[in-house]
Amino acid sequence: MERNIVYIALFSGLIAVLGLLPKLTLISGIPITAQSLGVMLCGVILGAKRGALAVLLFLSLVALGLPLLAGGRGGLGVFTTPWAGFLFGFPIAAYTTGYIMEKFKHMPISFTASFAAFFGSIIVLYVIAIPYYMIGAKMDFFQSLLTMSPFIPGDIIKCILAGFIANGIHKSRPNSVLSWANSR
Amino acid sequence: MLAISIMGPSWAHNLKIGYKLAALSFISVIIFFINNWLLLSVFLVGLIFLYSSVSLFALRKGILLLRPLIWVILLIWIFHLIRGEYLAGTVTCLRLLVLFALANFVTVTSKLSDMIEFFLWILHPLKLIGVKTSSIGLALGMVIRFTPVLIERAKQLLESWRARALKRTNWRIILPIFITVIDDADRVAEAIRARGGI
Repeated sequence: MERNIVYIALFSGLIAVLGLLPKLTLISGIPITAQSLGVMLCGVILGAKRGALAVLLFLSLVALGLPLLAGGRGGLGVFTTPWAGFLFGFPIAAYTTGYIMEKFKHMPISFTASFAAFFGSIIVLYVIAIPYYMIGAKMDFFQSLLTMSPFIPGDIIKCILAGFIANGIHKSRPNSVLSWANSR
Repeated sequence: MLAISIMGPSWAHNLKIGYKLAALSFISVIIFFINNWLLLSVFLVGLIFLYSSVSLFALRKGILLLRPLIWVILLIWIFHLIRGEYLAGTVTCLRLLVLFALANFVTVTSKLSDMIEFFLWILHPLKLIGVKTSSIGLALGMVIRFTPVLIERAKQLLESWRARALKRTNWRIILPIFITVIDDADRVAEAIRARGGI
């Protein structure tokens, strides 16, 4: 019980840390913030329920006024923009990612984690975020997709990284991968 | 860690957070249904007065918070211009601006500790379905306490990378950050259990 709560709290802090890291420049030179990678890893490492709770905790603190979003943004205002669909989708994305992790334990962890992150934190997230943007910004589907397209390559790279990182965590601290632990 | 809110006192700081949030939701719903650019502009001017009535510093803070939104709004406006919907685009952008600035006004004039207190009060009914609200309070406190520590840790790891490696820092730094935090989490959980648990 204590362990669950501390893990949820510290992973929610990790989402903030990843958002505040200096922008990581990838091979192709696209600068990305790692915040959504934090959301993916919450689902991947903590599993569905705890992962979603960690993200909810993070979002609550943003709403209460802490500048924890990438670029030091925060407060109630960020939830009113058309991009807020991503924020509202984050807990669901983490839940889906964690759910997939919990269901597929027989494959190598890097593969499962990348797949779970791809399905949960890209497909599911964009399915929520695009309609939200369409309504908020009064745009049609293709315009919305076009607006978001610069972020999609970075997101796909983050999925692959989530696989590598999950593999590293699983190798060095196997007990901490709560989504794969047998007892619950 | 820096909060977005500014120091009081002012009339807006003295208002109860519950009232501020209730007013915010009520006015936001009304604004959502306004389709007149003139009326929205009036709201925008009103907001400038609202911020200035607290202090000039508050006004500057409010404008500073708007900065990241500029690109979002510009992009939306351009897309609408391409489709030839000048008026609809302007209305959408103005509405976004008003909603954003209004919501930020509540954040800017509310103390974090009061916000948390209100948040925990709102969550009280969760007890009826068996959720331990005290552990939510503990978790909130832990994130607030630990996030600066974790940021400091990440900076140290980045620094030691730069001191030792020829290559620039890249995503590989994330793994050691996670491992050290996981170790911290295990120790903190143990410490809480040793002190009687949750």
